Amino acid sequence: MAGVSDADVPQEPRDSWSSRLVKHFLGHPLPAVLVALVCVIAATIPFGGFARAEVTKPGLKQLEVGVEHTFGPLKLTIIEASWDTDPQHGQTDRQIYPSVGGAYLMVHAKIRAVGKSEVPFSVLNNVMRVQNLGSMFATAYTHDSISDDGEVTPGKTVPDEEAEYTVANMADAISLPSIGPGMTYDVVFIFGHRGTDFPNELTLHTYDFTWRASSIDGSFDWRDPEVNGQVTMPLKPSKAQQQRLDRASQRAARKAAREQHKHKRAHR
Amino acid sequence: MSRRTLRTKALTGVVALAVVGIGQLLTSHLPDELTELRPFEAAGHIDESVDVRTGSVRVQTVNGGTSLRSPIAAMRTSNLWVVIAYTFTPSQTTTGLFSIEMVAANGMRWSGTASRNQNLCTSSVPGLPIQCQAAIEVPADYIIGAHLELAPTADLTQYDAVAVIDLEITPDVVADWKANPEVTLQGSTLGAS
Repeated sequence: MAGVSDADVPQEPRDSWSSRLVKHFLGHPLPAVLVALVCVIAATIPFGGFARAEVTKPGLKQLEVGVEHTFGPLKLTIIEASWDTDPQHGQTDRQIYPSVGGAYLMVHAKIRAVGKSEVPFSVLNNVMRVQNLGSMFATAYTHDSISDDGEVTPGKTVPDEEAEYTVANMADAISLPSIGPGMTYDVVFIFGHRGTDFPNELTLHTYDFTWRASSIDGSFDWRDPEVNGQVTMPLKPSKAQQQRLDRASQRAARKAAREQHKHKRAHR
Repeated sequence: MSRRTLRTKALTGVVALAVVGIGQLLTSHLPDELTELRPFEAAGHIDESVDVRTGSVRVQTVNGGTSLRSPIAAMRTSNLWVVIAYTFTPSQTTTGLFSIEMVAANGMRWSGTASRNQNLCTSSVPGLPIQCQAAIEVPADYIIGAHLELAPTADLTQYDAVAVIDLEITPDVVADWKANPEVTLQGSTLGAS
């Protein structure tokens, strides 16, 4: 067989530099994976890339006044909302003293403990928060204070979501730190508010809880309060407060009439 | 594969299964965690002395009403206040009795130290009785057939001695308590009643 000289072998056409580069990289398995990864990342760019996705909460349940709803181990029926500067005015056995520099916002409700263990403070005191009110004191009783020499120290106000309340038993106005299993109470959730300028409606956010083990000691409890519902109801002065307001406006009207009468007599 | 090798492998499998079975049998006879934590219960009745680890306890009276008058405050309720008077006598060291719970037939528990409840029981020296009183707020609907559990230490009755006292609460007793407007809580005193 006759030998074939190098000069007889047809030469392949020479690639351009770019196709040689692609061939060089894609010819190796690892760079091919990297290139695919870069392509995938590039494809996500129109959708926001790796930016943290906005957490969209499911819509809040619209709760009804007068209907019992369940929040973890607690059943709650919200009845009505009112405000009063001195809810125990005239009573001898006082638990609540007149607000200094504001008024008490009171949410009347029935509560019931379901299950076989008590409803702890962490649930009872985190089941609701007010919305869109402003000028809320940090707790029910952290209102302004007046020293003996008349100096006023303003109480701390906080954003609505941080305003805490006290749950008082209606029967004796004593605070309930927790409630035992099977117990039912008529209660008032008492918030503190600077001033007496209230809207005609009150909106509350309600919170549900998760029964889970602690990551520290493994003990089970109701944890992680999470807003899940909203209820809106009329907000008006309590009956006693309305009577005081009426009496005050009648006094003001009488005083104005006297002034007018005096003024007329002086100009006759 | 030779018949001998096959027989050896089958035998190995049978032995392995037998070992696992024996292991499970042994495990089922070991005390589980809940059994280990169970307190040592001593049953008793009203006006009967029951030994607990640090002394002896005797429940003397149980009374109920719709409001409680105590040294701290007057507390009204839409439920019931139950006041338990009991005597505790330390046996070895100076101590008191710090855990008292009412337990319903369905397992609901109301502690003498939770919420607005009170357990007034001071400490005493060995041999000197303490007159103690506890006030526990309970729902009237659940307490028929309830019993009382008294233990030396608060909130840690695991491993410990617990006196289980039948309170003899019947529907008639509950009806009487509902009709009683007030029960009184006086506090804790040293010495025999």
